[in-house]
Amino acid sequence: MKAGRGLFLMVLILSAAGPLYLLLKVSVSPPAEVMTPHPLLLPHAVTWRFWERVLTSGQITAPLWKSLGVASGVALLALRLLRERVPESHR
Amino acid sequence: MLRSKDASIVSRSGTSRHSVAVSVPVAPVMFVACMAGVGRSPTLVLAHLLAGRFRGQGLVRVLLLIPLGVPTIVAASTMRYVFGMVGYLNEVLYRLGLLTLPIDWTGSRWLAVGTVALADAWKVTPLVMLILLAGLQAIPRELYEAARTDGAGPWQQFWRITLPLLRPALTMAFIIRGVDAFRIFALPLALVGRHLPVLSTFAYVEYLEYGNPHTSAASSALLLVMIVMTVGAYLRLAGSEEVVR
Repeated sequence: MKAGRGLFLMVLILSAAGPLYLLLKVSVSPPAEVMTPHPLLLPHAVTWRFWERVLTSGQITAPLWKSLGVASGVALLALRLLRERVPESHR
Repeated sequence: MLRSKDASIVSRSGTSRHSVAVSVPVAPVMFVACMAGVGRSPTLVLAHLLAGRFRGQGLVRVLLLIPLGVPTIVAASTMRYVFGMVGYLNEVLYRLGLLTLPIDWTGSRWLAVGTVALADAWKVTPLVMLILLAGLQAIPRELYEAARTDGAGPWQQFWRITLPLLRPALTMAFIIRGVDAFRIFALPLALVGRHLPVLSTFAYVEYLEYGNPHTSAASSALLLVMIVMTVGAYLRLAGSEEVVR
């Protein structure tokens, strides 16, 4: 029963994290590793040039600050409301 | 764009827009059916597993919740790496010896529906899991202790305690996911393109590409009616007190 539960959870974790791993893997892989009939599952030749391109393009600053500002603002507001609404005994 | 003799508008690919329009309402229903049938049962099992105590529980919960934070359009781009002709799913199946030629996962309509349903399930399973987990943790432990004392096994406990007391959470999960599945937009558009029209993408294409706000508004209203009817029918079947509870 325990082994079955462990196996089921492992499959689910791989299913949940697999696409995210691929997202990161593709971001550091040269096109020859990705756009082929047999793409490599592990990164062999790591390249940071796509990250550099994003960070040095000069176009990331405005959207980054907008996203960061809105998300941080909402998170802070939610925390503030939570602290005000939840009774001391439940914290 | 051409106009045929019977005045039906034919797109460049030769597909009649009328036939597309007729098929459009079917797609969301198929999505909802896929989501309701395929998505909930494993999620219930998952929530049940996560409700128990085990080592690394916090880490597992965090890992399983991550897809919820991924924007839909990013999820669609990511799923293109998975389900593309030269994607990783074909590669994994090839390495396992399960196929020799790559499968076009978005090539035929039914396969495309399944692919989009799987991609959508990947993104929203954590939400359903959270709802069911909250429902599971609200069930008093004493009920299980009493059932064990009376000699009930794990299956009996599940069928006679967990499932009945989880009905409000299941109803909420169904309604939220049902409405969400009807509203699906970015995932089919980015993953399959216009080969798999659903009402929301149809409304989008009508407005932006054909410059027809009236058809767009009509199809959007139709989508709203479908959502209201589905939620109404489900509440009638499941009982609205389940939601109020």
